[in-house]
Amino acid sequence: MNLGFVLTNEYIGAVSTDKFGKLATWEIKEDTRKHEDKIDECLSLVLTRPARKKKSGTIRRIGIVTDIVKTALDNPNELDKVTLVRLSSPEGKDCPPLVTDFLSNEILTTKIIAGGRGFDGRIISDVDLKQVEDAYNQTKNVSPSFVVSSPFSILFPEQEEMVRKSLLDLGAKKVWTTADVSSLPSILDRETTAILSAASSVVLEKFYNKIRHSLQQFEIGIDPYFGRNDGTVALGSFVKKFPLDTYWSVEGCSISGIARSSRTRRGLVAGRSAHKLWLGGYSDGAPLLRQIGFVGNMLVHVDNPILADLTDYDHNESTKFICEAFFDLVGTHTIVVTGLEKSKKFPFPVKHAHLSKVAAAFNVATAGVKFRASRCKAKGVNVEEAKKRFESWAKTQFVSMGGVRSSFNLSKVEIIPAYNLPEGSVRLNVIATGKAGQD
Amino acid sequence: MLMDETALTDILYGSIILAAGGGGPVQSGKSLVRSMALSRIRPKLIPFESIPNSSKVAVPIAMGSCATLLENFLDFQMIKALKIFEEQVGKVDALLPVETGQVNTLAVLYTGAKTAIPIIDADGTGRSIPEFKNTVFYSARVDPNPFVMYDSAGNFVVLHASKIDEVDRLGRTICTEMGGLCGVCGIQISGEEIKRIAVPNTISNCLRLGKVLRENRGSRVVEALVKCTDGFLLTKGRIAKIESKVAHGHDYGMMEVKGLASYKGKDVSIAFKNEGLIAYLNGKPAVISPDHIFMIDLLTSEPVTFTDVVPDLLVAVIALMANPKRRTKLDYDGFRDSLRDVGYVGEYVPVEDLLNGS
Repeated sequence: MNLGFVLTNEYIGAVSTDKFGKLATWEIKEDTRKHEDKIDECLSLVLTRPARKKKSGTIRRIGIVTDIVKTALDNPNELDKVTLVRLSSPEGKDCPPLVTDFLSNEILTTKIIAGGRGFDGRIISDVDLKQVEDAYNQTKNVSPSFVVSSPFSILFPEQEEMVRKSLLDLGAKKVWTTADVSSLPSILDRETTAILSAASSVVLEKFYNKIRHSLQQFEIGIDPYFGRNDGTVALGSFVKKFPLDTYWSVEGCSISGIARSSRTRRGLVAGRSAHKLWLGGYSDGAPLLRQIGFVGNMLVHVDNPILADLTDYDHNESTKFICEAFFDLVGTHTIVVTGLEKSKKFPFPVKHAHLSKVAAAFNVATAGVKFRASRCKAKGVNVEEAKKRFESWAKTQFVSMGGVRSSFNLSKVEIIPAYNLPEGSVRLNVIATGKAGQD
Repeated sequence: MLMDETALTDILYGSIILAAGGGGPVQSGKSLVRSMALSRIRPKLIPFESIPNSSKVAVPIAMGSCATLLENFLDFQMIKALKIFEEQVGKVDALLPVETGQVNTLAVLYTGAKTAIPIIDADGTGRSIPEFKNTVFYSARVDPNPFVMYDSAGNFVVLHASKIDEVDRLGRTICTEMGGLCGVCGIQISGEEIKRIAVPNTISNCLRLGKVLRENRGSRVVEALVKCTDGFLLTKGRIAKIESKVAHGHDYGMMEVKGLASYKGKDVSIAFKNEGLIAYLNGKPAVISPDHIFMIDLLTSEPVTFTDVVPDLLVAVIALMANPKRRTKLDYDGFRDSLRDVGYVGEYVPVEDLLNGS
C-alpha cells in the first residue's frame, strides 16, 4: 500500500491506498500547531505502532506534502544565513543591491569579488581564488550556506562552478550557483531564487530528518517522497536541495490530486489555503504551470501552478471573467471545489470533491516523478552534442529523484531560440516522466 | 520636490505602464530604486514650467539590450558619462530623461540623485521608444553632440555625429563593442528649447499612475487605470501566441491576445520592436505609434512588458493617447521607419478615431 500525508499550517491529513492506487482510508484533522510538533500525530492517522504493524500491510511508498517552506519564508526567523559571492567586475564598484528588504543583512552577507563574462563570452575579469578564500574566511562563521552568482552564467557557467568548487574545497557545507537554480536570464532573479533556496533549505532538511526519525518509530526506513509545486513527487533527499519546489506544493498537489481522483483530464479546482481562496486548473491531468512566481514581492524562477487569488473578488463580474479565462485555458467548464465550506462566490455551478482537503495527500501517495530542466547554449556551441549529454544527465537526475529507471520516458526534448539572450543563443528543454519507486 | 522610496516605486510602476510594453527589464529599474533607498539619496524634481530658459540641460541615457541589462548593472557608467559631458560643455543645471520607461526614467533619477543635479519633470518622448529618431530631439533636429558613452571597464567615447540620424547607428555599434551596455550623456539643450519641444509632466504622471496601481491592485485595477489614463480597454484575455527574434540589436515580434468571457471576439495583436509600435483589434489597426498600449497581468496586477510575456498569461490590453505635443506630422515621421520594420506603412490615425470608427 501507499501512504500520503498532508501537513499544513491549519490541518493534517492522511490517506492510504491499495496496491492498485485506489483510495482505501483517509483521515483529516484541524491542527494549528507548528509543523514539527504534529508529525507524529499526522503519521498516526493511518499508521499503527509496530505491535499492530501487520494490519498495515506492506508499505511501498510514503509521500508528504507540506507548506513548511512557505511558512518559513513568511516568518524568516528560522531561515539560514547565506553569503552571496557575486562575481562582478570592475570589482567593488557600486553594485545595485537585491531588490527587497526581506534579504536584509540579518540573513544575507554579500561579498563582491572579481570575475564575470560578457554577453559574447568575453572574459571581463578572471576569478581570483585568493579573494574567494578571503570571502570564505570572513563569513564561514556567520553563514554555512553560500550562493555564487555571475553575469551570463546560464551561457558561461565555468566561473560560478570554479568558485563553487573552491568554496567546497575550503570547507563550505552547501553551495548553490545561480545556474543551478535557473536557466532564465536576469541575474537578480536567479540570485533571489538561489538565496531563498539556500536560506530555506535548512528548514526543509530539519523537517525531513524529523519525518524520517518519526517513521523509524513505526519501523519504516524508506526515504519519503515530497510533493512538488507541479503536482509530481521527488525523494526528500533530492527536494531538500531545492526547497522552493515545495513552496506551492499544497496547491499544486491538490489540483493534481483532484485530477487524479476524479479521473478527468481537464478541470478547474478551487481551494482554500492560508486563508486565501484560490482557483487553479489542470489540463491533461497536470496543473497549469508557470516558470516564474512571486515569493512575497520577490520574483523567483520556480515552476508553480497558475493560481488566481479570488479572496478579494467580491465583484461577480471580475470573478466571472477569471473563471471564464480559466475555462478557456483548460478547455472545460467543470469546477471542482476542494476544502471549501461554501461556494457562493462562484458564478458557476460547482461540484464538491469527495476527497476534500486530502486530495493533496492522495496525490503524493500516487503521483509520478517528473524531471524538467532547461539549459542555454551560446552561439557556436555544438548543440547536438550538448543535447546528448543533457539527455543522459536527465536520466541520472530522474533516478536520483526517485523515478523507476525502467519507466524513464523522455517525453520532450526541444531546441528553441533563447529569448532575452544574445543573438544565436539556444535553449535546450527536456522533460522526462515516469513512475515513482525505489529500485 | 524630494522623493521617498514609496514615491520612487510609484514612479517605477508608472513608468512601466507608459513604456509601451518595452522600456527594458523591470528588475533594472527596481534595483535603481533600491539603490537610492539604501544609500538614502533622493532625486530632486523641477516642475516643467519653472525651468529657467537659460538652463543648460543634459540627457543621460542607459543604452543597452535587454539581454545585457538583465545580467549587468548600470550605475557609475551614467555618472562618469555625465562628468565627461560636463568637461566638454560646462556645468549642467538639470537633467532630462530621453524617454519614459523603467530603465531610462529611473536611471536619470538615480544619476541626478547621485550628482545632486535636479531632474526636469518631462522627457523626450512621453513613452518608451526603440530608436533615437522616435524622440522629440530628432523631430526638432536638436544637436545631439557631444554624445558621451562610458562602459564598465572605464572606456569612453566622445561621439560627434555629423547629423542626428547617425547617432543611433554609430551609438549601437560602439555600445556592442563596449559589451552591450553603456552609460550615455548627450544632447546639450536649453531650458527654453525644452519648454518648446519636450513632453511635460511625465515623471509626475508616472507617480500618479503608480499610486493608482498600488491602491487598486486586485479586481479593480484595470478599471482604475483606464479611468486615470483616459485610456481605452481593448480586451481582456489570454496571450495565445508570442513570437520574437533578435535582429540588429532589437527584439522584434508579434504577440496575440485572444479575448475571453465578455471580451470574446475582441482579439488584439501587437507588433513590437523592443516596444509595442502598433496594435490591431480583430486585424484592423487600433493603436498606431506614437499612441501606445500597456498590459496588466490580471492575476498579479503587475504591468507586463514583452520581456515577461509567456503564452497563456491573462492580461488586459489598454490603449493610451500620446501627448498632444507628440501627435504632429513631424513626430509621426520619426516613427515611420520603425513602423515599417514591423510591417505598417500607412498613415497615423489617432487611437480615439480608430476605435470610434471600428
